[in-house]
Amino acid sequence: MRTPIHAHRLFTFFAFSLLFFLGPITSANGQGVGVDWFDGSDPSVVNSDITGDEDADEQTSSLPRDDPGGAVASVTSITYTYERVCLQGVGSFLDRGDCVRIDAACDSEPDGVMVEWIAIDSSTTPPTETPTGDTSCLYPGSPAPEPPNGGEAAEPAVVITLEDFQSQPIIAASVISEPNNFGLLGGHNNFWAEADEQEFTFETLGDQVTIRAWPVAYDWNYGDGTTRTTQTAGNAVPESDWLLVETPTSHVYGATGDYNVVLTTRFNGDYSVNGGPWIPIAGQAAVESEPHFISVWRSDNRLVDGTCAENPSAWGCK
Amino acid sequence: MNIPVPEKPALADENTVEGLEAFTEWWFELGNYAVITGNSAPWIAETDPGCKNCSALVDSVNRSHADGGWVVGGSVTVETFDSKFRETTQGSVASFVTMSQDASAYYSSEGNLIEELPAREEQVVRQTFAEHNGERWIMLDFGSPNTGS
Repeated sequence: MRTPIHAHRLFTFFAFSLLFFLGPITSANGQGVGVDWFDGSDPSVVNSDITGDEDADEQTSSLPRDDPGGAVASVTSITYTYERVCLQGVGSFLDRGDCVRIDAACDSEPDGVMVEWIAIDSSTTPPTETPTGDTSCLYPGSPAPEPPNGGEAAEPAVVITLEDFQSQPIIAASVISEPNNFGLLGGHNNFWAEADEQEFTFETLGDQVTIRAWPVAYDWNYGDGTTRTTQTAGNAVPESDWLLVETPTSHVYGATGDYNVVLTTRFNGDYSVNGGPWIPIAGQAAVESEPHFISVWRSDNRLVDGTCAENPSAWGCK
Repeated sequence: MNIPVPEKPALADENTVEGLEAFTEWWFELGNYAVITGNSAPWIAETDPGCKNCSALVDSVNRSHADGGWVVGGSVTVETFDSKFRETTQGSVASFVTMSQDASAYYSSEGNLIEELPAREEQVVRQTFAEHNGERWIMLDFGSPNTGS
């Protein structure tokens, strides 16, 4: 049997009272009729809706919300941890674009991460972990979010901070260009990065900690004053397309010369203590690659006839 | 207007992530159908009565079609669908959808424009909760994911 109220912390999103607030055009009853599937795009509007809906929810809800254990588990055996909604490449069900959009909903501070609460029932061996479907936002440098319904947060034996994460020896991406270290003025000089997911395991005070880092964004500095951030590492193109085909990471130089391309790869990180759940670290580690040298040449095409032996003063003969 | 009720895709009853995706997309099509035609019944049939955001949409549909009013546009499109397909503590399965919405206009029975809502091209992230009852999916809840910290 399903519970009468499905009590998730979801928020209203309809703007059927829009006209009432906007004023000038009103229907007979003074209320808008528009059917809007979404509420205002302004997050403050969304937030003001949250309170109202939450209150109403609590009044009408006939069961405790998110009671993870039901009648079997005692209340005290449930604690909550959280995991990323978006793993961006680590065993992920989400593509990177979706991850960016989902994390973008956490916009009250920079670099927000949307997390989902996981209920840990430690009355079983091993403890069972069940997602609640309930989300929160995690922000670098801010206190961890509070578990739903006044629940108790699971305290890992070791807490890994952003600084701890950033001090890991994360291996920088390699930068590759086609053709190798050589470019043409006006051509689509293709660069791409090779960066791997990495894990670091160490013991601290008898607890085993594993940190995993994976690349999520690439800040390209092409050495001519042009910078660009991509979510893709880029990729190789067939040799027949070299310099001819634009890629998301290729660059056209406006002047000949020697350039150093500097790539900074940004990694997200999670950690796990003694084999427990992966706990997200808010914020990123930026790792700079070795400068990648490229010499950009001018190409000149002429129609020529005969050999230089026949005509030593012809174009291209010396 | 003679708009057919969106047909249920064959996959939509399957208790798999693909089935849930097909169901979710169809559920939004039924919602679009309700907005345009004023007939919410097919949508309600797939929706748990506990979904308050859904009841609010039905109220809104009824209001916009009251006394012979009509609606142009306003369809939502599911751009992306993602689900970890794990059962939550409440026995449901959570998914994330990103959506866009066409512009819409609301007219009274006399043909007077009552209200216009602009298109939303930027993709909006929403969370859905559905449950498979052994035969088919039922939408339990729909709304913005909680962004509180």
